[in-house]
Order: sequence, then structure tokens, then C-alpha cells
Amino acid sequence: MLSIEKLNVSIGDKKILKDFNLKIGKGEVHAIMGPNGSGKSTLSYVLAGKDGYDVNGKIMFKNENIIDLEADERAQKGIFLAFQYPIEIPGVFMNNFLKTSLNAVRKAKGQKEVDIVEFLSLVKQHAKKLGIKEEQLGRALNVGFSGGEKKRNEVLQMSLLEPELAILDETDSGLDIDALKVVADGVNALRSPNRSFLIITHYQRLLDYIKPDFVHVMVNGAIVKTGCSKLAQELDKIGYKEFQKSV
Amino acid sequence: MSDNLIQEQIKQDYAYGFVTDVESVQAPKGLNKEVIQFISKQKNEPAWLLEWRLKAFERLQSMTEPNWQKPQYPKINYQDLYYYSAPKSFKEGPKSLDEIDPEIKKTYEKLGIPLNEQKRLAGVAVDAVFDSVSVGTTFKKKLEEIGIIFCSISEAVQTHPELVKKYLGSVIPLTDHYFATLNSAVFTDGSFVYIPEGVRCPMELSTYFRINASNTGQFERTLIIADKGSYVSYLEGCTAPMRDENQLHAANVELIALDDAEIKYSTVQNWYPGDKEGKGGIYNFVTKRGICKGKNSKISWTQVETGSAITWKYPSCILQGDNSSGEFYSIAITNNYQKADTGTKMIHLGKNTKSRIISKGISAGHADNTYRGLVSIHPKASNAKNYTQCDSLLVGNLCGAHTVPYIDNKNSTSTTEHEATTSKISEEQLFYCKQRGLNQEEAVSLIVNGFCKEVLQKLPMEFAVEAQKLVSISLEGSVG
Amino acid sequence: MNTITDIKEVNELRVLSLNLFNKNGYPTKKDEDWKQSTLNNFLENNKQLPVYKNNKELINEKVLENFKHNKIFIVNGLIQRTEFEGKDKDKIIISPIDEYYKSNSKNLLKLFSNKKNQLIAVNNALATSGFYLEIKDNLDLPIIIYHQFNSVIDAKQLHQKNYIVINKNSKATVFEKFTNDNKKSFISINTNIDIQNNAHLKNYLINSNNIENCIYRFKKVNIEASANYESFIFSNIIKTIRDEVEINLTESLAECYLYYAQFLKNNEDHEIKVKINHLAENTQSYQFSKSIIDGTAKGVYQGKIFVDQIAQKTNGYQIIKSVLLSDQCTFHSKPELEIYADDVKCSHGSSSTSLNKDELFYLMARGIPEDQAKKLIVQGFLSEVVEKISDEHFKNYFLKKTVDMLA
Repeated sequence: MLSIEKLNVSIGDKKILKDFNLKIGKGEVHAIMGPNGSGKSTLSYVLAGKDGYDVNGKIMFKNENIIDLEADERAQKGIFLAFQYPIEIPGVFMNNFLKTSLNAVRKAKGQKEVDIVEFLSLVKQHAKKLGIKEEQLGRALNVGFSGGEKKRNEVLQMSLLEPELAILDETDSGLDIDALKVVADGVNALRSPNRSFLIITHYQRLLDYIKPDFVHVMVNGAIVKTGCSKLAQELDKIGYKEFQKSV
Repeated sequence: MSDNLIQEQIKQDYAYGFVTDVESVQAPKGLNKEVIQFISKQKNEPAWLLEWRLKAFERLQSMTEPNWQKPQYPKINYQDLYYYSAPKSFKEGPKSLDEIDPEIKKTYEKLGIPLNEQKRLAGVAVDAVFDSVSVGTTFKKKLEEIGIIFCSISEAVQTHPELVKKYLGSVIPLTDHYFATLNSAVFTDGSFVYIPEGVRCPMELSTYFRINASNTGQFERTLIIADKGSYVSYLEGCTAPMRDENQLHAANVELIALDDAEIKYSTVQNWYPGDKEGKGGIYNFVTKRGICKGKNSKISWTQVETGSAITWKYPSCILQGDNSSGEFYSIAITNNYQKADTGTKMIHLGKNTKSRIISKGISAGHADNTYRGLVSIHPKASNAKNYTQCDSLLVGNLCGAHTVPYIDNKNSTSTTEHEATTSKISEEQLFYCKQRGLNQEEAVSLIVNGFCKEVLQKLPMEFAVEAQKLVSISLEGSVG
Repeated sequence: MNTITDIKEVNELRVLSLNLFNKNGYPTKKDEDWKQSTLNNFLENNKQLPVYKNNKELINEKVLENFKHNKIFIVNGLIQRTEFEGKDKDKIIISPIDEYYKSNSKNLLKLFSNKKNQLIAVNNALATSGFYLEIKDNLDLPIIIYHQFNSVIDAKQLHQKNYIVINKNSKATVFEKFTNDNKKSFISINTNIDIQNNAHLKNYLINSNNIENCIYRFKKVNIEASANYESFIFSNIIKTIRDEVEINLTESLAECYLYYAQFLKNNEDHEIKVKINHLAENTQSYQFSKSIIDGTAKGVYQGKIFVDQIAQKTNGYQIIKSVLLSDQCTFHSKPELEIYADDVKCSHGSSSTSLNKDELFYLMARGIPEDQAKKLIVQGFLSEVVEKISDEHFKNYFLKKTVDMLA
């Protein structure tokens, strides 16, 4: 599904990712854990194709190097990023945005575009599952949403767009335990043999709800240790200090 | 709180209004070639400087005073002023601090400015200007050891003519506007600072200006040059005796920051503001401008303006070097019949230039307070950023608060942001404080100081306390 | 024609204004109020345009809106036809402005004021057309005023003076639709609006399809107790326009809401000037303007809130936002406050930026191509103002305009 080879990323003189390597197979769930400033969020941005970074290396997605593709092209190929801080766009309404996005992705996949009636029934169905009120769909994108509402909105978009690779960037930050559970349930419902996940997180908490197949520890822009889900629990006890020392 | 009580609280007396009794040497009254030649001769100036002054004077003949400002003032009779006044004992100039007239020393002691190095404020070098001449500079030796030149500008003309000649008038051209040109023609003294390449000035440099003689205009000239990679923090303070007539203060301050240099310029201005009926007080018509000439350079203006009958000044930054940045932090408090029209200009010429403007205006009594500012982003200033915030606080309903910003953006990759608010101290805020046990005066002082906090924090430690006191004194308890 | 010259009082006022103009001439960049104005250039280059003499003109029926409304057709400044529906017929009075002058000759000083402004002086002196409109009661349907300027006025100047009165307790919606098919003409329209006690006026306006001409529109609106005025001006595809408004909130609880949305491209220039005078207690004003600027276009916003000493408990808000899309476009703003009362809440915010890259990335990360994503952001940016329109029908009408504009 995804194979990252010797990925180097920097902004100006500052190196953020250094010879970063990662392979994610079809249907696998990977978690990347690491302290602040280890380059986790940069990794998610670079995978999604954000401008403003000097990027070198290979990002193979479904056997194609996507490193030169624009963000929309990557999204159309099936990469989805659930943002840590979903942006507020006043005046751009949820319904209009979701429909435009859904149809852009469907068009790229060669699927029929949905009309407004189909769209509304589809979006309501998904929204209901996530406990998103219909009223929220009539509001401007993320404007005035609470932290929990924003994260739920990200999961809603994920379920609508049906990506093949979903990257969750600190999706658990700022959520109380109930909201965390709703979001985790939403993600779990989307797990399938055809869909891979990359979960970026600080704490082990989220991984109690979404069980990963692999856990990676990231320090100073590279993966320093890989293990199974037990590693997450260990980390919770010993912290990242041990790993930081060894680098 | 009753209106009477408010009135009583606003009436804060000017603590620095005494006159020092010293004999002085004055140029004859009036503005003409002879007076300029007299000044130049008194100071033993080289020919090029006299020529420069006369050129300014000639230019002045075809200029008129600007008249777009909010505060109006009666016509100034420029022929009725003295343009040069020096304590007689200084005719030869002070050789060392020990030679200073004890009367003048006493004056500075009353003002809390130590000219005696033993009793100095920790780590502050002071240049004191009394009427038209510099009376003494402290810490000169220590600064000289690391190559810093800190002296009066008259002295610099003698000892470092090449630097003065190169930079004088390079930021504020001879022809800039009426008061700046007037200053170029008749300036008497002021401070000169040169920080050599790579040197961080280890102490705050400071000038205290004192207008003593009557009917005297004060026209000082300050020139600060920060060479590559250097840093300096400079502070000026000002006071004047109480007199019934208005006195004119038209200074020029020029700052030059070369590559990677930083200049921090702070002002605590407490000129005599006039009496409660608006009689007397200083007209503070000052031109202050800095240029960030080199890349990554920075100029920061901080001002606390509590005095003067009329304050009319716009400390500005020309951001020429790429990645350079300019800052303007201002508190302007006007009370009684005081008027202030102040703000800044940020001229973005270079790439990635940044500017930040924080202005706090407080009006009480019959006062008028105007923020006027220009943010101009030129077509070549890619990725320039500006942030402006101006807040006004009104105390009583006989005063005025005005905001006049000009924002011109000519580059699509650049960002300007401007926010302004006008408000009074709300009953809710007062109630909240009182409910927590503060009395009215404490509550108002707390809220006003809170209102100004962002700016007060920018002052060097040594002066922040003084400024904070001034803010409280000017407005304590004046809200009901 | 020129019936106006028959009225002695009017004639005197016109001569006064003309003398004033002759003394001061056209405004220049040296006048603070006209510093950034592009009208200056046009007027400088076209000083000698002949004044258009009014005539009977043909109505362009193609621009009619297809929803039910009351119609007023003004072609080159003159009323050509009116069609009012049902009961509204009895609630609307309309007449040429000179007829109003004749029967109200004692009441004219107000309509000929503002002599400090040179262009108003010219308008006072030269206006030969215009209308008087009075609304006597709540209207069931909106009025659309079709302002049509055709090629007859090519390379001429036309001055129009209007007076609108909304009677006590009445509500009305007036939509002014401008169409221009003329070149190198200078059109000045000076409209006085009185909104009496507890009356409400919604005044929407569209500037569009304006080729190679220059328009100066000045409105002076007096708002009495508990009355309110809501205005929205939408500008797209124009040449040189200055929209100026002076609002007097003369009695307590008077309110005004001014909204502007504009998308300027090519060499389009739009200048907005607002002066709001809070002259009584408990008055409220709100300004919200959003501009998208592209090409070599220029946007200007000068807005001033004045609060009189007696106007306690005033609220005045002003938000001005612009997005610059190209290297050569410019935006100038001057959000001004002049305040003499202490118990007030006034604020202004102004920003100009490039298109938000994070917003663009978010949309593209959802698969939306760059071009489409930009359009969405632009449309969203402008629709934030349009959403403020309180009349549902016109809100949707203008939302559709923002979409069509980008199609």
C-alpha cells in the first residue's frame, strides 16, 4: 500500500525527517508515537502533499511514486489526512464543501458524481452514526465547532470519502473520554482489509480503542524502534527519554 | 463615585515644575542667519556643518508648517524665541562631571537622574541635556574601552566628523518638513551613539532632556548608528519647569541599523503639560525616524507619553533591508487640555519585512488623543507582515479618542492586520475587582495598567517602574 | 425641458453651488478625502464632457428580474415607466424630482447641502434629472429600480438627484439594479434618504456590467428614532466607481447596517467611503466589507465612525477584509474612529492578505482541484457578507450571484 524510502524533509536549514523509512501493507494499522517535535505532524503533512517543505526520497503509494503530486491528486488517489487542527473556513458551508469534495474524489475514481438528493441522504446517514447533528451540516466549515465536533467532522469526511490510506494526526488531542470513544468507534467501523491506517499520537490512550498491528517510536525525525501493540503500553510507563538518549 | 471626587483625582500636580537658577548665555532672540552663525560659532563647528545649517534655513523660507493634524495651536512667533541657551559656567564645556555647576547637578538630583557615577542607577549611562547643551555624559570611559562612542553630538562633530557627516540627515532629509528642517538649521545639542560591529552595548544608554530657560525652544538632535551585528538599548526622558507660555520642542532623532543590528529606543516623555486650564506647557513636535538599512536588522520604538500640552510625533521605521523588522509600542495619556496626535509609519520596502504596532491611548478631562499611523507595503516587499492594534480608553465624556490608520497593501503575498477598539472602564470590571476586595483607586490603577501592560513590558526594567508610576498617577481614580 | 430653471429658489441654490465649484475645481489627490480616488484621473482627463440633456429613452426589458416585484424604470436619469402591484399601488408615490421642488420650494436647502464636497457641488449645479419616491406604508413586495444608462450618454456627463422618504412605521425593500451600456461618461447620482420614526429600509444595489465609465454615487441617509437602514452593495465587472454614504443616526435607537462585497479584476477600481455620525444615545452602526482583488484592480475603503459627545451607549463596528490575488492589485484602507463620548463600544478591524494557503491545502487534501478550491474559498469569503442580508429572498439572490460570478 504505502512504502516510504529514504524520505528527507527540511524547512530552510532545519532538517525534520532524516532518511525516514516505513512500509504499510494493505489493511494494516500502524501507530507512530513520539515526543513533541519529533517530526510526526510534518510526516503527515508531507504524505498529504503540503507545500513549503524541501522533500527528497520516495513515497510509493500503490506502486506509484507520489512525491511530485499535488495534495488534491493524492486525495483523489485515496490518501486521507485527519488534521490535528482542522481549519475554520468562514463562508464555506459544510454541505457544499462535502459534496464538492466527494464528487471530486468520485470523479477521479471514475465513479458517477452524486446529485444533491443522493448526497444529502448519504451524508445524513454517516452523520447520524457519528452523532453529528444535522444543524452542524448547515454551518460554515469548522467555524464555531468545539474541539470534539471538529474531530468528529474529520471522521465524517473520512467515512464519506472511503480512502485507502487514512492518516490520523493526533486525532485524540483535545478530546474528552466520551468524544474519544465516538471517534474511535467511527474509525473502527471503517477498518477493512482494503484500508490501511497510520495513527499518529502522543499517548497510548487512543490505542486502547484502536488496536494497532504495529507501533513505531519516532525520535528526531526517524523511527528508532518498532514493535507490536505492547510497545505502546511500555512507552506509556517508561516515556520517550530512553530513546532520546540513544539518538 | 461622585464627579467631584473624580475631578479631585484627576488633578495631579506636575512634580518637575521648578526652575533652576543659573546664569545662561543666550543667542539673541529670533531666527536668522546671524543666530545660526552664532550657534555654529559657539560650538566651533566645521564649515560644512554651518553650510548645511544655512541650506536648511534657506529651504525653511519657502516652507510652511503642516496643518493636517488634529490638535490646533496658536501661531508660533519664531522670531520671539531664543534658539540657543547655555548655562554660563559651561561656556567652555564641561571637562568632566566634577566641573558641572552644582545648581544643575541639584536639578538632576531632584529629577532623580544621577550624574554622579557613584550614585548611578545600576548599569545606565546618562547623557544629560540642559536647555541647549549637553552637561555631561557618564560612563564614557567604560564604553570607550569596547569601542562605543557615546557623547554629545557637538562633541562628536569635533571627534568623529566622518561619522556625523555620513549619517546626519540621511534618515530625515534636510527638506523633510517644516519642524525637521527648522531643527536642521538651529539644532543645538543632543546625543550621539555609535556601536561598532558585533558589539552588544552592555548597559542602557540614556539621555535626559531638561528645558530650563524661558522663551527657549529646544532643538536637539540625536543620531544613533548600530553597525553590523551590534545591539543597543537607548532611553530618553524629558522634563521642563512650569511656565505660563508654551515652549517649543522640535527634536530630530535618526536611527540607523546596519546588517543584523538592533536598536531599541525608549522614551518616557513627561514634559510640563500646562496647567488645569490648558495654559502653558510644551509643544512637543518631534521627528523620529529609523532606517533598518541592513538585512535582519531591527528597530523598536517604545514610548510612554504623559506630558506636553501638545504631543505631535510619529516615530517611524523604514524597513529597507530584507528580513528587517520594526516595532512601535506606545502609551499616550492625555489629561486636562492636553492633546496628542501620535502614531507611527512602517514603510515596508524589503522582502520578509515585519512590523508590529501596539498603541494604547488614554484620554481624560478635556483632552484629545489621536492615533495616526501608516502601514505601507511596497510592491517589492514580498511576504511582508504587519500587525497593528490600537486601543483607546476614555475617562469621562468631555474628552475625545480618535484613530486614523492608513493601510496600503501593494503586494499580494503580504499581510496586514489592523484591530482597534475604543472603550471605557466597564462597571463590570470595576465591580469584579471590588468584589475581590480592591478599592476604586486600586481597581482603576490595576485596570489601566493592565490596559497598558503590553507596552510597559517592552520598557527596560530600570524605567518600567517609573513609567508604571506615571501611568497610575496620571489617571488614578478618575473613573466613576 | 429644463423645467427646474422655472423655480427661483432652486435656481439660486444651483448658482451658489456652481460658484462654489468654480472656486474649488475638481478634487485632487491633495484632498484628504480623495487621496486614493481614481475618479480624480478620470475627471482630470475628461474635464470638458458635455452635460446630457434628458430625453425620452427606450427601456431595456432584457434585464427584468423574473420574480414578482414593483418596477420603476429610470433611463438616463428620467422616470420612464412604473408598475406597482396590488395594494402597493396606493402606498408608493413617485414623481420627477423637479415636481417635488415645485411643491416644496421652502424645503430645499437640505437637498442642496454638502457643498464642501466639490462633486456634490457640481451635482447640485448641474442635475437635471432624478426622482422623488415616498413610501407611505408597509410594502408587500420589493421595489426594483432599474437604473439604465445607454449609449446616448457616451462621452457625456449626467447628474441626477433623488430623494427617498420612508414614512413613519413603514417597511420597504428597494433593490437598485444598474445597467450601463455607455462609454467614457461620467454619471453622478446624489440621493437623499429620510427614514422616519420606526421605519425600515432595506436598500440593495448591484454594480455590474459597467464598461469604461465612471460613476460617483453619494447617499445621505437620515435615520430617526427606532428606524433602521440596511444596505448591501455588490460590485463585479465595473470600471471606476466611488460609492459614498453619509449616515446620520439622529435619534435614539436608530441603527444602520452597511454591507459590501466585491470581486474586482482587470483594471477595475472601486472605492467605498463611509461616514457614520452617531448623534444620539443608544445608536448602533455596523460595517462589514469584503473584497477580492485580482489583476491590476484597486480597492479602497475609507470608513469613519464619529461619535458625538451626547451619543452615549453607542455601538460602532467596522470590519474590512480583503484578499489580494495578483502581483499588481492594491488595497487601501483607512478605518477611522473619532469619538467624544466615553460610554461607547467601538471597534474596527482591517486585514489584507493573500489567499489562505492552509485553507487551500485543507480543501485540496479532500481531493478538490486547486482551481475549484480557490473558487470555493473566494465564494465562501464573499458569502460571509452576503449571509448578513436579512431579506431571505435577496440573500439567496446574491448568494447565487457570487456563484455565477465565478462560473
